[in-house]
Amino acid sequence: MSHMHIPDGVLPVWIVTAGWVVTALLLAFCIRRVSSIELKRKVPLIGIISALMIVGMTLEIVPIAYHINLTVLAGIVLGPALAFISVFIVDLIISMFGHGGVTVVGLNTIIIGAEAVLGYYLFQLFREVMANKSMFREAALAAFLSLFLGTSIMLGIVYASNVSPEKVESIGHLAPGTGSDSNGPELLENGINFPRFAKTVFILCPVGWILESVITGLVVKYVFRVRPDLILPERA
Amino acid sequence: MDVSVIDYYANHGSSFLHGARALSKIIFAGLVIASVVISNSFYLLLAVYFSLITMVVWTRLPVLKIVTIAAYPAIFALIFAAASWNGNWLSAGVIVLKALSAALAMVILIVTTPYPDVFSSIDPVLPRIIREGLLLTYRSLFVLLELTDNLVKGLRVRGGLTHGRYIKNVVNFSSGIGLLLVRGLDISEKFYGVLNVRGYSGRISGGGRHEKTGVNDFTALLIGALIFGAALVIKMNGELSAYDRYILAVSLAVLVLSTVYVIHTNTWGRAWKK
Amino acid sequence: MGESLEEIVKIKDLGFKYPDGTTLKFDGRDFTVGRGERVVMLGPNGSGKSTLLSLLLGLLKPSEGEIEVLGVDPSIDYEKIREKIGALLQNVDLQIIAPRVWDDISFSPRNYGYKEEETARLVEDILKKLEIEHLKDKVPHYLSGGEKTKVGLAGALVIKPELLILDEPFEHIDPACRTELIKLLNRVNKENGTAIILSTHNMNTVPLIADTVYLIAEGGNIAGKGTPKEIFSQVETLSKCHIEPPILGELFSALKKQGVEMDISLTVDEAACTIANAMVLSKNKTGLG
Repeated sequence: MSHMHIPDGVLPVWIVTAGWVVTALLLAFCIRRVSSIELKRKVPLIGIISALMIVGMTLEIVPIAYHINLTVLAGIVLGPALAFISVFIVDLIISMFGHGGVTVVGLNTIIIGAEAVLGYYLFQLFREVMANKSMFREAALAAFLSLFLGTSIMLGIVYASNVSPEKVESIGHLAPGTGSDSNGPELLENGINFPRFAKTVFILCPVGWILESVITGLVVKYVFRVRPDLILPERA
Repeated sequence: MDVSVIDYYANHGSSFLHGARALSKIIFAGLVIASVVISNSFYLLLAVYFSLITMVVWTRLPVLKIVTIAAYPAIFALIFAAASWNGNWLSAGVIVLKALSAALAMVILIVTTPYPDVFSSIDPVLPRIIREGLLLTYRSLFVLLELTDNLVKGLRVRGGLTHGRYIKNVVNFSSGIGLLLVRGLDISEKFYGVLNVRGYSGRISGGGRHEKTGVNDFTALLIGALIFGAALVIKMNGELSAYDRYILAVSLAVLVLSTVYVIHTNTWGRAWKK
Repeated sequence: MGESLEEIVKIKDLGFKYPDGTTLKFDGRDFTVGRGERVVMLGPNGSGKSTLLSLLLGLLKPSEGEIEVLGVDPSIDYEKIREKIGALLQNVDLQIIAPRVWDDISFSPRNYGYKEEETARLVEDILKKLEIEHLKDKVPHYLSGGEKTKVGLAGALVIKPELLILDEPFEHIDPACRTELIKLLNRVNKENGTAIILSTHNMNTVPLIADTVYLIAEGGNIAGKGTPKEIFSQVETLSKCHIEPPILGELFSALKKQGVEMDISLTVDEAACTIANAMVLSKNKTGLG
């Protein structure tokens, strides 16, 4: 669990809709940015990296929910625009497996796409600054920070959904007169306890961040040794 | 996330849901998810969940496996539930059931509908690059899964993944992923060559199969409409919320009877195309 | 056979340099393919057979020399001829890119802008011809190796190409399927006049599918050209090219060394007949003596 896939029905409709709108805008921007690349060049690349991310998710390292996501690796290999498109595709497909809600594909794309995009820029920055030969440290650090920032964005989304004036729609906030008598009134007073939620997330996620960072670092190190052209910026 | 198993069920099952059109099942899943979003009644959500399990029983696919696949988001939902904990188990249950029911509705769609048919149905609303990307992701996925399978076997056989040597395992595992990435990019080059040779101009799919609407579609849509109708009526009219327990009782009875029938007729877990 | 036909493929002193510096030079003899001719390329791994096929398909740009396919340089103008060429690349699994068999076979006509009804008609025709109608709704990863090859071939043949290029088509398929495939290719060649260029390691298939055989040695050198009979009687050249001669070629070569001069036979039936005749003849001679 290096990042969370928000499930369906836990966030208010307004923020879910906003997630779709923002994702649509970002996708339009990314598609425009890569419009100069031939479609037949882009599509196989997106296909294979998206597939690789899904394959990564099928390989559970620690049972239950810790699997690798390879989002930062996707960012490093594809560059920010193609990686964002790829993340959307992955989110759409995995939502069909119940892996992250289908209504929140927009929000999940923002969170996971941010990891890929930040991963790319941080990796390029560390590459310049650290100039390490193996690329392990650069990639691992970029992955760790990107995952931390991605999780922070997720927390920001949850926080925003909680402080919204429309919070009556959110989970745990039943509008008067709805739901069973037995689970009605007391819930009106309480929403998601944000500090508690953030604490839980920050206790559970770092293990995933460390694992994912180490693996990303090692993968980049391996690829840099055998095919350095794949992670050079001009490729992206 | 057992991609191959899900794909196998979708392509080899022969239930009434397999016979329904992809679009009908997408509408069914949409109606269930809409119900889940608007409903905050624990009993109604549990009834929805039981109804969905009943549908899985009717498909004769392995129920436990499918329910387990769809249970994954419960882990995340539990974190949300823990954060919203107010001492009331029912409110925590609402959060978990929302995630479980929505996921099961999607999983029912995908275990009874091959991905390409789902993609074809949502085709018109997607930009070309995403539409084509989805199709090639699907194709690449199974090529990579085969490679991964060989890779993991190779690592195991050659002592690359050994019990107790976790650091070494992670290093070897990462090299494996690196190799998969390199091979994957070679494959993408090959795909590029194939697209070139075969005259690609932006249309990988032929637009899906021409399916006829029939009684199976009607059944799927009716169940979806009934679930959504119940959620909407209870949402609109608070006084009716007391009836959610009856709905739960009915759904449980249908689940039990369906299970007994399927076991009795010895068709449990058996509905495969030859 | 080649001389009398209109040449649709010509290469001369063609060279290709890989990014790692490896150079292939297809020299030694001119490589030509006539309209309707069946050409087989034989060569060891790494000799450049696949590279040559990729050059013919415009997937690679030559570093030197001349190349002409159906009147154009494929590295520049492949778009102009692509509707006349069908190809089955090495590892057919990666050639099937559409999500279903029907989608994949209809891939080229759809992308070339054929009308829907025309596309459907062409696909149905080829499905029937290859006897794979039952596969049309299947997804590729559930097909067997032989079925994948047939689907890949159907995708290449659907537009009735003038030239069919096949890179190791007999890999990963069982002997029965191989025989079926050879029959099919010969039928396509006869009925449509489709020229075929095929690379293979499988010696036994060569006499059944080739009018002309090219021997490609290491580094791309074209070390031999001739009919299967001519090529297989050159056991030493084959060995020099690191190609294991077919067992019958070796047998007749050994007989020749023993002083028994016989025309090389390429099939077991033919060889049995030749040897039996020779034995009868020798018996008669002995009897007469």
